[in-house]
Amino acid sequence: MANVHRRFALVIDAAKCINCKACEVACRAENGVPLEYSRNWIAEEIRGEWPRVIATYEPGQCQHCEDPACVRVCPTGASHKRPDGIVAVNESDCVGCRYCILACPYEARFFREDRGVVEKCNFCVDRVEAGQLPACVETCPSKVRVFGDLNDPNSRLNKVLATRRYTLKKPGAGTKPKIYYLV
Amino acid sequence: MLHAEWGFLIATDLFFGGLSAGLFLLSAAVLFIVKGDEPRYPNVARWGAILAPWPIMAATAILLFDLGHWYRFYILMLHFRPLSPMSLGTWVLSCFIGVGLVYCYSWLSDEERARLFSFLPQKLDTLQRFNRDLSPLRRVLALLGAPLAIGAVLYPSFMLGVMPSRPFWNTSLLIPVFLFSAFTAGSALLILVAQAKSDEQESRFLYGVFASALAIELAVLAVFVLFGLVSLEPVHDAIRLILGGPFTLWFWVGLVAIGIIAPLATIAVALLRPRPRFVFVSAAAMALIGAYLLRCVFVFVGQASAIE
Repeated sequence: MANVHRRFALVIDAAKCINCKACEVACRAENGVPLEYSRNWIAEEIRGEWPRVIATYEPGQCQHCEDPACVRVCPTGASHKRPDGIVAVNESDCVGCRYCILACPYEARFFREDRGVVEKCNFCVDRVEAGQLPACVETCPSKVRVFGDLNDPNSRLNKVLATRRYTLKKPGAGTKPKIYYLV
Repeated sequence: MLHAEWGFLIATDLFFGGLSAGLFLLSAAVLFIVKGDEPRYPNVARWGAILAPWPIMAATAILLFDLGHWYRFYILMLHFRPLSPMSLGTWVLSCFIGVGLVYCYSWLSDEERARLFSFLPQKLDTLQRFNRDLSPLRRVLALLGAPLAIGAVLYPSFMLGVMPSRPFWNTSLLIPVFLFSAFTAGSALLILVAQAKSDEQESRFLYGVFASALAIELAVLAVFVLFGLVSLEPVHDAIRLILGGPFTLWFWVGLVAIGIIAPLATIAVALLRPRPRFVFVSAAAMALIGAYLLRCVFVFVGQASAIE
């Protein structure tokens, strides 16, 4: 049962990321994602040359948009947005047309050849419904991610958003993402 | 090599869909050009009708095999989502196939229908009651099928065009590109099939339609490229994929030169001075290759384009 009065979102403080990939491992373990696919990832960028070199790591995943393009185009409604804002895929309705993969500006979806369906991050919805944090949030050793309810003014997520500057990915896509990247 | 979620199967599907729609629309349009009580261009009308349903049926079969599991296609039919172009397209294509088959049947002669029903096993003898002459219904069927054919030809441009994440596709100019390419493909196939049976006047009509469709398609493609060049940065970047990018050769040599300019030049020269039939046939064959390449180029380039 979705949390009707909640609106889940995530803050990512990429500056804290050490590229340990624990989030990816936790996600695989929690959701049974095979090694050839990934629901989340860390984009690595290395600038400059030794000895003046800087490496930045930025975790990425489904942006759980307010107006998700994947949901708009899905011909069966398998891709859907729950009342609590989590964008999920109902696998029993997914025909594997992969239209949503092309519509997603964040390339956050992948096609499971073995199962013939599309998968993506769903904020570990079973854990969230049981009052737990998503696996990637809980496992991160440097606390890169802050998960919470945008409708709860006392949530840590809202406190972080109120005190820190943040950016959204690809705002030009018009999908209103709900993953906030601290700057 | 670019990883493409939609590959040659989807390009083939779009090509066959456009071909069927082009054939149907040409047949339906010439049905209303009459000389006395008879159609002025009977071979175009008849062969357009007879050929129209088959490519789109092949396209639908191809589409099924591109799904995760082909046998789950029925789930598409259990949902109607008016804002999803693919959902709308599923219903439009299904209806178009149905009307197209009946329209095709209405063009069969008494002998052809008798031959068709002679293949029925005795157990299915009750189906003989469908052996009826539907020729009086041709105009009704043409009018019923024309909007569906337009829907079938426009659905890919709608399906691709609604994705802001793919700037190469995200323009309404895809509509005329696919529409006129459908007329090019339809008239090209009719030249290959019906020209031998047509008289001089009908052949010249067919060449005229073919050349006009090619010329308009070329103009629309030019506008598409110019629009991209003067548009916002993501669209501009997307257009560069065919202007010096990895798809340049496919677009300019395969599609524009071989698929449009060569057949257009060939048909223009052939219309000025009488030429043997194979000249027209080769122009039509090149245009069909061009129509297929257009779908391939648009399917692959669109997936390679993205917003930053």
